[in-house]
Amino acid sequence: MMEWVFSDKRGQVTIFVILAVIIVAVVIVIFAFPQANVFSSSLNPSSYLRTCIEPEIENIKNTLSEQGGYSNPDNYAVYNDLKLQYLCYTSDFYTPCYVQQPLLLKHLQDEMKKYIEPRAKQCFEDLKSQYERRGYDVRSGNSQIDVSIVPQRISVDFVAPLTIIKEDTQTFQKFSVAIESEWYYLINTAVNIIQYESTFGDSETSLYMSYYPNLKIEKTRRDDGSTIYQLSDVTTSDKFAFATRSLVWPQGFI
Amino acid sequence: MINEKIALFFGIFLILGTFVIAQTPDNPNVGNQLQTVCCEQTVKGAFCQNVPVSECKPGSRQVPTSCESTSYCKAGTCYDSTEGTCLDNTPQLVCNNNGGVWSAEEPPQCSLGCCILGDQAAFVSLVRCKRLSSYLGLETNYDTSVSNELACIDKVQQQEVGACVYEFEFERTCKFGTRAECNTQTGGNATLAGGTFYAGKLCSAEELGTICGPTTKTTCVSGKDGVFFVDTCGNPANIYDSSKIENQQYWTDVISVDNSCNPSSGNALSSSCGNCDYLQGSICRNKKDAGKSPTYGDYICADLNCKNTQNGKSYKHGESWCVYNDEGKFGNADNSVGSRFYKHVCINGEEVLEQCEDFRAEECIEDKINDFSQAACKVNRWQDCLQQTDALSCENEDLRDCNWNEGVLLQALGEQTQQNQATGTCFPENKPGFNFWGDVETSSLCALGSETCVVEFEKDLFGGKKCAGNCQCLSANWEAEKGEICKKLGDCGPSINWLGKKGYDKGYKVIIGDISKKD
Repeated sequence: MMEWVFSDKRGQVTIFVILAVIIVAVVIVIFAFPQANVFSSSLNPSSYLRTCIEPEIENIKNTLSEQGGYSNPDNYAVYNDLKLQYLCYTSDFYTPCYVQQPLLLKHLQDEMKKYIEPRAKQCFEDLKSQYERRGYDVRSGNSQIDVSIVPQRISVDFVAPLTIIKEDTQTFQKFSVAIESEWYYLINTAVNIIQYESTFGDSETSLYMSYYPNLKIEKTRRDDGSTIYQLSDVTTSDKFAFATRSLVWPQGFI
Repeated sequence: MINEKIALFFGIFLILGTFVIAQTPDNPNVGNQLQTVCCEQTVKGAFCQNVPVSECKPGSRQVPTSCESTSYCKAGTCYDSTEGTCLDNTPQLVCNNNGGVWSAEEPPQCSLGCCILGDQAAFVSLVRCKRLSSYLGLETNYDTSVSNELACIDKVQQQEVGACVYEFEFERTCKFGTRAECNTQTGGNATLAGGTFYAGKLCSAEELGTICGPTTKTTCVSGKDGVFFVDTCGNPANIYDSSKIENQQYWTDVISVDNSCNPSSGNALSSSCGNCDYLQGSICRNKKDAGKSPTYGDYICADLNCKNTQNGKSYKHGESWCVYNDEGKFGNADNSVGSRFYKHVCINGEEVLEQCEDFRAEECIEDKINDFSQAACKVNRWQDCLQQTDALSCENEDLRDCNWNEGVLLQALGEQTQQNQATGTCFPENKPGFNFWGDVETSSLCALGSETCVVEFEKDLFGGKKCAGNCQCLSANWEAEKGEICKKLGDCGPSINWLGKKGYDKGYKVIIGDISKKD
């Protein structure tokens, strides 16, 4: 009996190797195509779109957080290899800055929309293809995206009429994806700082931090008169950084 | 025999500072390019800047006047009608291009009033109040009669809080909040309008007969410092006190913070009491963030104070203090080249650093109120120090930051301003930094420390020379003394840098002029 077991040892090893290869292949498929629901024949369009769009929201949010709310900054200060857009700027000495980006919240929503829209549409097309591959008759209308930054969250509403027909008919009008974020408060604080900079030429950051326990502001002055503001929420990973140049004192008399 | 008296004149010039080769532009168009215009957009992308023509983006509007005098770049108030916020000093075109409403004067929509948001308050415009109320699902409660933020906060603190009891899905349930919320708020799927309000009662009070009861769970409440118990319905109850977890009365009536556990202490990292006090450096935080676990629940009063900071001292949360770590001294025009002032702030247990303006254009000032340190960077007003001719005007703290040096006279300054009657010189308290490596102006400023001394010699009968006048100029002390005076002007003379290192050269030159004879 013992002899038989040992003689078949090579076969056992082969089986284990095959099993290991299958497990690794499944794991790779799960990680490479997270939106593909390999274990279920039914697709949930909301969760499919959420899985597809959420990383894009995070991506653009991180970029905008680090670059003063601009995906491609033009008038910027360089700090730690990052380009931070001047949201309030003057090239003169002795004068407070001119506001360069009013309606900051709207601008951020527009920037996010500009980035997310093509990707969201692609996700929607992929979703339709998935259904079609599963034998569904898919009908859809024009899609439109709406981004809103509100207290405690960033939500993306994807208005895309979708009807899927097989044995029964299912109709969807809108898909919403929301991520938790304290960005709204950080951006409002940034607007407040810009208001101080444009009126008085400087801002008193320790007061903000005393009033708002979760807020941390790092203010760094550069030799060229720029000031870098890095706002963050100490309880979350949310942050927002931007630059200003206001009430600059020259060296010497000038 | 006639004694021949020969006077020999040695011109000794002490020339200090930096020598810069001034470049004269050969381009005849330079003058035109340096002409400043109000530029709609610069090549760098900035809007409405007074810049030389060459820096203006091709195709953008430019007028040879200040931006304030133009129609398109005139600064005014930009109103965001969606968010209800206003921004001053916004150029007209920037505001309009971004969808704002621009006006030269502040529009009435920007006037502020008190916005009540449940148990919170905000001193904002009416549109902003409506916006915030909609976010929170509350009815707009706006009071224009409140004229300042403190009165607004005071108003909300006087609001009655209690249990709002209502029926939901055939159950008698409860939501804790204000009387106004009880009448208007929409909570989840259930409208609370019509709920019965019990002032000063908790939802867990047995007498109310609701489904809400005591738990061992705790939570942080927005806008409040402490750790609060939570009832089974998710409502906040009284301040967390481990000794009262089974006390029926503690789960019945609202107990004020002052009557809760250890009201005089911040209770930082206390495992038994959640009566945190933000002003004393503690606030409700998750136990993971705070680094310590309470007896019950997941929240504790985190310690926000800073211990053993860079200067070895401990500071309370919110305190700020000045730091001058660089080599050299400050306050007597003895600052080193490249040194600057820093303001440090203690925030959330972390020492945050903030630089004052470089080139010592700002200096740090600090004071203590009830042992609470506060610091700020303020402008260094050194510019007119040298023009002052008496100690009184020199040390007038309302106007400038200078020190009077009795008996110290600057020869060059006396010649320039003809203020030879002065008995001393007024120097900056903290001398300014100069762009000494590429600025013509630095040379002229430092040249104020230059001095010419004519030494007289007498020839005696045997051909020897004897000093007869201004002999002090020949001593080593004289040279060092003049160097010290020169240093007080700014980054001039034989200074050290912020690391304490001396420069590659002396920082001044001694030139011995031609000898002239006098009979």
